[in-house]
Amino acid sequence: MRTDELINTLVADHAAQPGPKPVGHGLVMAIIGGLAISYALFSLTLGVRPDFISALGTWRYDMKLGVNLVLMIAATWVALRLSRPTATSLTAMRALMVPVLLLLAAVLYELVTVSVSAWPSRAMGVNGVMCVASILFLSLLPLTATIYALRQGAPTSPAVMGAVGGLLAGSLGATVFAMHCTNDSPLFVAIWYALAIGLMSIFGLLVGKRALRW
Amino acid sequence: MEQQRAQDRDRIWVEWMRAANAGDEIAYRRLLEALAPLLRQVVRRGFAHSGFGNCDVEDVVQETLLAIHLKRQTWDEDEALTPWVTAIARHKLIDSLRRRGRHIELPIDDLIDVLPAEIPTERLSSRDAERLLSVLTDRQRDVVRAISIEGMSAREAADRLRMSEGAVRVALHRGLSALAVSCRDLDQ
Repeated sequence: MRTDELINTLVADHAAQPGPKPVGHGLVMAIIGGLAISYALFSLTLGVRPDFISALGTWRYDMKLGVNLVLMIAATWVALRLSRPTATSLTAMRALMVPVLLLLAAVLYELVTVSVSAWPSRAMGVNGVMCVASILFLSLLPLTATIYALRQGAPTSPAVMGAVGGLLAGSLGATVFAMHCTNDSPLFVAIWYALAIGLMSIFGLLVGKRALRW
Repeated sequence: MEQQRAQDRDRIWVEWMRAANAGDEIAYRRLLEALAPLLRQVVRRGFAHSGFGNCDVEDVVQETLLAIHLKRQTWDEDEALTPWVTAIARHKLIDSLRRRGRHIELPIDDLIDVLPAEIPTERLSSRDAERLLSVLTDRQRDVVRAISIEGMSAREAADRLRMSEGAVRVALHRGLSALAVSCRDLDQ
């Protein structure tokens, strides 16, 4: 094919759809849709903890919800930046330090205020494995939606983009799961939530490596 | 001096791209035609850096034009166009070199510091066009041929192929997406 012939087809295709929607549009739809699906699955299986309202009044619970929400927002922001070909991964990813530092501060505060003998029970909680499994369960469909939306982007590194998509979906699932979970210690969150979200990120990386190539 | 010229040039390109996003086809064509020589130069330099000849320059130029088109939603109307275009060209260049078994770091500044000189070239992709088009369905191939080679509009292609204009547009868009995928995978 000659280059001017190719340009003919590109111009004709452009005429059919002059200004395609920006990546952010699809990504926001994926997040809203992902939250809806995740919450529907959550209501059918786990359900909101009975003392949800009174738990909202405790700093530990607010911190648990807050860290996940902040990570979700930070991951969305980073994903949007990385979807542009001119972005450099390292500078764009700095926003992820915000939820990490927030969680670290909460962990430190917990370690200082709670006696050493109580550390293990706080960290292990009631059932960490169930927590990880639930978050993965609640994150998988949102990850599919997220990766699908990110296919509109042009990331320099599809693998990194996928990993950030995994963080986004994982923190979304974790935010929903946090409404059920009664292990509120930052120690528990730093181990089990982080493990689940980390697994989602690795999974996103593996999927993104292929699915986000362009 | 040269920098000033590059800035002026970018300002015009940004205007064309904005006009194109607002529905101006002529501006879009003008832009793509203006970008082709820049891309040729970027790709040539990239190949030279990595010790390849100019064998498949036009292949990569075309893949980049296709990527620019399919990813045009990632350009922000407030940013310059040249860095965005060269970032896409660089990505396609690295991809193409990787398929040839080379892994190299391309210093982007070296690729764009000079204004493109018009280099005579046949502008024909060396890749077998028929082999490339073979990934398309019959219908997509008919549409792509009518529009690319015969220069028809979607409307004219629809009349000729007895399809609705909407169906032509869908077939064209899917065909282009399939071409982008096959450029990546066929050479492997």
